[in-house]
Amino acid sequence: MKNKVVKGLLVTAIAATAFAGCGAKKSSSVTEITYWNFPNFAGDKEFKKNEDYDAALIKAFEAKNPGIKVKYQKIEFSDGPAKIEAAIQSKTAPDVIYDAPGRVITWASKGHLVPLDHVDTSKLLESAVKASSYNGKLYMYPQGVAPFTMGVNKTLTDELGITNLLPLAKEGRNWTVEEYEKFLRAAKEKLAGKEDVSPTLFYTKSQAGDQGPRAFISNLFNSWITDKDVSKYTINDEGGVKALEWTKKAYDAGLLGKGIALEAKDAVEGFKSGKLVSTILFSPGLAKQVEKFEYKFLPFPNSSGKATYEYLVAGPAIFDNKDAKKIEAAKKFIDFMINDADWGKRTLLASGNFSAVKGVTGLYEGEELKFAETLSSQFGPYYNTIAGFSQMRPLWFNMVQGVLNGQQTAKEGLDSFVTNANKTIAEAK
Amino acid sequence: MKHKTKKKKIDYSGYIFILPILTFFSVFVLFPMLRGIQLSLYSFTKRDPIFVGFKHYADLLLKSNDATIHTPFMKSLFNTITITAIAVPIVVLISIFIAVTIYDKKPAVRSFFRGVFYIPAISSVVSITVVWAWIYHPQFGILNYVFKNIGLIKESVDWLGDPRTAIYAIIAILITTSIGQPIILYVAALGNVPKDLLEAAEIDGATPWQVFRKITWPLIRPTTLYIVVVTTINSFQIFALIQLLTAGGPNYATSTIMYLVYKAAIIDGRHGLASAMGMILAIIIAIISIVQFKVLNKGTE
Repeated sequence: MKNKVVKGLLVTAIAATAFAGCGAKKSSSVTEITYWNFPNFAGDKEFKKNEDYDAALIKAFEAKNPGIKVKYQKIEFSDGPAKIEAAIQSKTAPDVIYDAPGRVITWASKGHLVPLDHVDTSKLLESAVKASSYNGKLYMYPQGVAPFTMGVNKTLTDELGITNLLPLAKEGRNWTVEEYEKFLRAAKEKLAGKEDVSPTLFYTKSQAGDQGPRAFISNLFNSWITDKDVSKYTINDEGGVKALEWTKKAYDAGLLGKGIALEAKDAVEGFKSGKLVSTILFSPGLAKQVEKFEYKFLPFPNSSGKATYEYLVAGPAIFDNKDAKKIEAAKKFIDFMINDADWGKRTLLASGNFSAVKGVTGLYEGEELKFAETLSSQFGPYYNTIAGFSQMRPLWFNMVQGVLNGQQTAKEGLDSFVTNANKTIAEAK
Repeated sequence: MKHKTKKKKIDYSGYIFILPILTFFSVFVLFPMLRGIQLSLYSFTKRDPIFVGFKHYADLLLKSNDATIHTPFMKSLFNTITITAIAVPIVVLISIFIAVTIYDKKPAVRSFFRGVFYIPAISSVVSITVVWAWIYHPQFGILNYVFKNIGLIKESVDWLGDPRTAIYAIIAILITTSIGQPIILYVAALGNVPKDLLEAAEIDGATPWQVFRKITWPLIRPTTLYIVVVTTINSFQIFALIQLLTAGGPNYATSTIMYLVYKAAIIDGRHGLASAMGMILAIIIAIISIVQFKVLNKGTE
């Protein structure tokens, strides 16, 4: 009997120790919020590492807001989206995330985010606000925008003696498909014997960086992936078919490299290492990685004489974790990140993007960034937020692969793509 | 007639010994499986899951449902079966050939070869794919270089980008990563074949092929059964090679069910659809494994 009493006491003591702390409410008035960020802020002069910049930003915010503590987690572009998805499912999503509308609007459509009604959108670029909104409500506070362009290695074109074929002196640097083809043929001719360098790389292995090939095809004969209202896919129009037929011909002629099984990373690495004369995926962010040669931004060739750009929008969003105090604190944090007198501009510059505020220009030095900054007036309809976008992406690259491999004609491929892609809109609703 | 049955006395303390593994199995295998079945009946397109019954199964299997996932799924199912049907016999044949060749060599030689063939099995699949991506590279790849130099091909081949070659290129890598374990198992199994049986057969005038066919092969059949089942399951679950090398392309030529499961669950957040695919895959693997047991288990205990 005595033994049993001792055992009982022992078990109770162990249980009490093990569960000590569980359920105890913190009496402190500090609100703790979690903040997850991809490596978005690599451009700061003082803090070269993304996490160092984020740490400095948080420190400055906490100094001004002693009642709020920000817990930071760095996530990578490779596995970050999966981590966020898992966190949403297990109800452990962060309070603040810095991302782009592609994912943010999907979360908003599922009711995971807090609408940012407190933000004055009248001062922001309409294209950025539209991209960051769902059902008329803003869900991401757009801080930066940047166009996706083409790029050329001018040092290499100078060496090859083909710089004169580039549209650098023309207004807006715009060029036609004929001019572009002439440039590619000249590059190929001059590169004869140099098997490790190609005029460009039209990659289409996966959805990574697939905005490059899509913008390329959409532009050639002035088509676009969706209609202006982003309500349906329209790339199977006459211009789209003509563009894909031209791409197939140019691919067969060896002008676009062999990129069916290669992806954006291969194109970026190839361009950075001087193995590609030009690239179909370039942006101010990628330009920062070019060190060995002089680069130039180039528009996509467009038969209309003026290119239309896909673009990046970046900014913070707030997850609805059902805690009013945390939501309030998160709103303060994102306002600090964007509007603080010191850290607002600094954060934007660290991201390498242009301002999403109307009329705020001239943030960067250098002719190329100044040129890229002028392109916001040529942004096309932002369709990354269309319902079922992520289901559409594999339909696209598989279709292009089928056409380039001769399994189907451009018309057949684009028709079936549009039919199926339109189905994904209905399926996602 | 009344049978007098003795009531068996069960020592329940035995259950305590299997409790740890039973707990582990229940928490990490049984519960996820049951939860998977449950998830496959729900749609996750909104914040709260919506019960949709067998809709995901119908979308995957029936053309009449007109779902966009049907064609990729059927192509992926076909590819998965093709990969397994080609890879498994080749893995068994190559590994048994290598094992027979090396098992009676000196221990040092045997260990060397076992090590060589086992390296791909223990290497990180990411490193392996990086190497193979360069071997198959359409412009700078060593395979094109070698084949062109020995006159096998005239123009560079886009091994992973051409639908005629892509799946075989993947199967080749799968085989290299799959043979390590079977070789080790076969070498061990061959070592257990009684020498006196082999010698007796030889004295009776059996040819080496007859010795292998009539004595060695039946005695190593349990090992073969294990290898066939395990390699089949691994081949059915091929994912990392596809994800890293082809993303299922070109035009779904290398897409597999596991790749689609990953894409649906992790990229698209369609957990219900992904679970339904997982269930169908599990059922197929179970059926094939049962058939393999029935066929290969004849005559063995």
